[in-house]
Amino acid sequence: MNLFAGFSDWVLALLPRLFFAPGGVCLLLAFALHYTASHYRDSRGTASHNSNRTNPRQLLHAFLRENTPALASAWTATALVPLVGIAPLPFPMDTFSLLSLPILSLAFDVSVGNKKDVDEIGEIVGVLAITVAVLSPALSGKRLLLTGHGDGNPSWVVLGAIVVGLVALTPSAGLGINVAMRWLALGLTGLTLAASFNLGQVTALLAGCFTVGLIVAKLGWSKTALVTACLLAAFALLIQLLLR
Amino acid sequence: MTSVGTRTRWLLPGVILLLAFLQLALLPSVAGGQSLLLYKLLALDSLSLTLGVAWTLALGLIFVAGIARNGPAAPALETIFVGAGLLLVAYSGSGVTLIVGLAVAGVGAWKALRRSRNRGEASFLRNLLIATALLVAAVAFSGVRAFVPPTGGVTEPWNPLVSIAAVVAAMLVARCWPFYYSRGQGSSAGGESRSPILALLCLAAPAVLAKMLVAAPVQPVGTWATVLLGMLALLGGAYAICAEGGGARHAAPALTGIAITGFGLAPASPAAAAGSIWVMLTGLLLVVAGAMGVGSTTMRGGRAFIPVAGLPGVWLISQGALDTGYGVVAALLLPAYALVMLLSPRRTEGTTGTTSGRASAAVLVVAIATAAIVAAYPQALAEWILRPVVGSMAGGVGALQAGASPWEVGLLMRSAQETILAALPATGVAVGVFLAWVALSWLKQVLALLTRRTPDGQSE
Repeated sequence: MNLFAGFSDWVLALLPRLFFAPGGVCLLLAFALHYTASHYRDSRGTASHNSNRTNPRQLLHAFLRENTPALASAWTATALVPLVGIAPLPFPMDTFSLLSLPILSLAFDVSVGNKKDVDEIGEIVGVLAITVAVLSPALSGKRLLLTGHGDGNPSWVVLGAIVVGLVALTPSAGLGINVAMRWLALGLTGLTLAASFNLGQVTALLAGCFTVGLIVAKLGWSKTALVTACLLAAFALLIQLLLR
Repeated sequence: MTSVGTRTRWLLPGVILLLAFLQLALLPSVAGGQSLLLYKLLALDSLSLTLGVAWTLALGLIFVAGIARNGPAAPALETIFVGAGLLLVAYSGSGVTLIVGLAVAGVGAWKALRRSRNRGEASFLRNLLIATALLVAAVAFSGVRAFVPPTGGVTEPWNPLVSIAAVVAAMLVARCWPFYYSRGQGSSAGGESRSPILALLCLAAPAVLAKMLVAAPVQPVGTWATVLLGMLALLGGAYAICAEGGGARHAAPALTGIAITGFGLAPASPAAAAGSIWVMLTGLLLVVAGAMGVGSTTMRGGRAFIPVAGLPGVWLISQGALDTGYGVVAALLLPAYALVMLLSPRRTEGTTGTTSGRASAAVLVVAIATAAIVAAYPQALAEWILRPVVGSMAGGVGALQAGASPWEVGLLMRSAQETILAALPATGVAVGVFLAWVALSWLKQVLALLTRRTPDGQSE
């Protein structure tokens, strides 16, 4: 057997995932999410530094300004999520690896430091809350590679932490396409790993989270949602600890 | 005169770097898992050689950075003290040599702190004295045991009190939370960011535990206490970074916490031992990069690669924690490491200078490139360095059989029953990110042409 056969299989499996579905579709969705969220932010006047991103041409210019490695990492993350109904990759990816990519994307953005501090901290907290929630089922297992996506019995607290975390992070999607892409990557990863949702259910949940996120932001409850997500993540960890 | 002065300045780092490469001549002596013991004082095995080469190389590069940044006069005497001490620790054959080495390196670091008028010098000296006393007490309690694997294959485990004393000593030297951090102390004076030698010593401190594991395992009580203290150091470091709103000062102590945690789990999981060594080695890149200053925006973006190099180590420890039933550790390691990784680059402008000079930029580029290669192809480090190193710790750690590495895509962890426990397709992910990066760059070029803008969004 050729030494590079595994590598070749991986690349062949990766290309359609990256450029078509789910990666390519997610990239287009990220533009849409960012456009919607930034338009909303403008109408609320909560992000003056972003106020020029309200028409498609300006959106294009915003894309040109984005940090490329950060966007590339988040895009790859969406392509590698083991979605139910899509052919699995020839080499498995465990929870740790999947969650590392959005964090890596955030690290690229943070290291360049082109975001406003308050939004950056909010996103870091939200991403970490979702990470803790997704990793908490590992307490009861013996391995990082989850199989069966929770065996059809999702932990509702874990799911709650992920959903509330996504709701809290929704307004941040208006800050950049990178952030919107990370939002999608975290949502896909979290919801797929936490429960055995199929593609339709995951899409519906993400759409619901985004809509509710915009409403929550309009009501000025985003920070409350962020704190709730953190509490739920901690609670999920505690429950798993007690149930071992 | 100037050229003579310049030559003299470059002499010491040149000698240190030469010493790092000369140690590689010892490689044939440790091939095949051999270990040599000289008069129960010095030991030569894969672990010693790896640590000796890595620390000497890092020290040399830190010295180069000091000269290249045109900072204060390079502290030659202190560097020699730290270098000699670290070499003694790396090649220590028993607790006595280890204590002497740690004390010599500590005195060098303390003198460096005094020279930089760092406000933490008093607390560091106090920590060093207590750590030395603890280690002396541990040696007195357990007797002088050689740091070589037992010939018969079975040995008496370390007493839990001895292992706890060693952990506390390592935390004291590394100035892990709670032994250093206080909000009023040092936030303006700076710590590791202004004293990379101290950060190097910090990352070397867990070697105390690695050396102990060469000879014998730790009892379960000792394992529990070590893991607890290691996690305390990590979470405390992460909290300290949050409390100060960022900064690289607490990154090295937090990494030390991760390494201690891994060594705590090591008697039951060789993967955790491998992860700890990984974190100790890749953490040196962070120290070297920290010594180089901030650099340009491109450099700052590239620096994000450096903590990424540590991710496979954290992954190994996480799976090791699950193997041994420490699920909480597995659930908290990645978020805590991510917090350190994300918040460390913040506020660096105020605490370090900017990169100046070609030498400094070149070293920073080498550090970033090394980190990128290690992150994208961890199989090489795992197979060529970690496997022999863990093998040399045969007294307290089992052979690294589970970490089989398929060379093409990434790392796999298998159980004894060949079930896949964890999978990190690092090379595969790197290919994905690279392809996405190239596609986005081309897309930006095309859009820039269409909209008559530069690819970074500026009007022409």
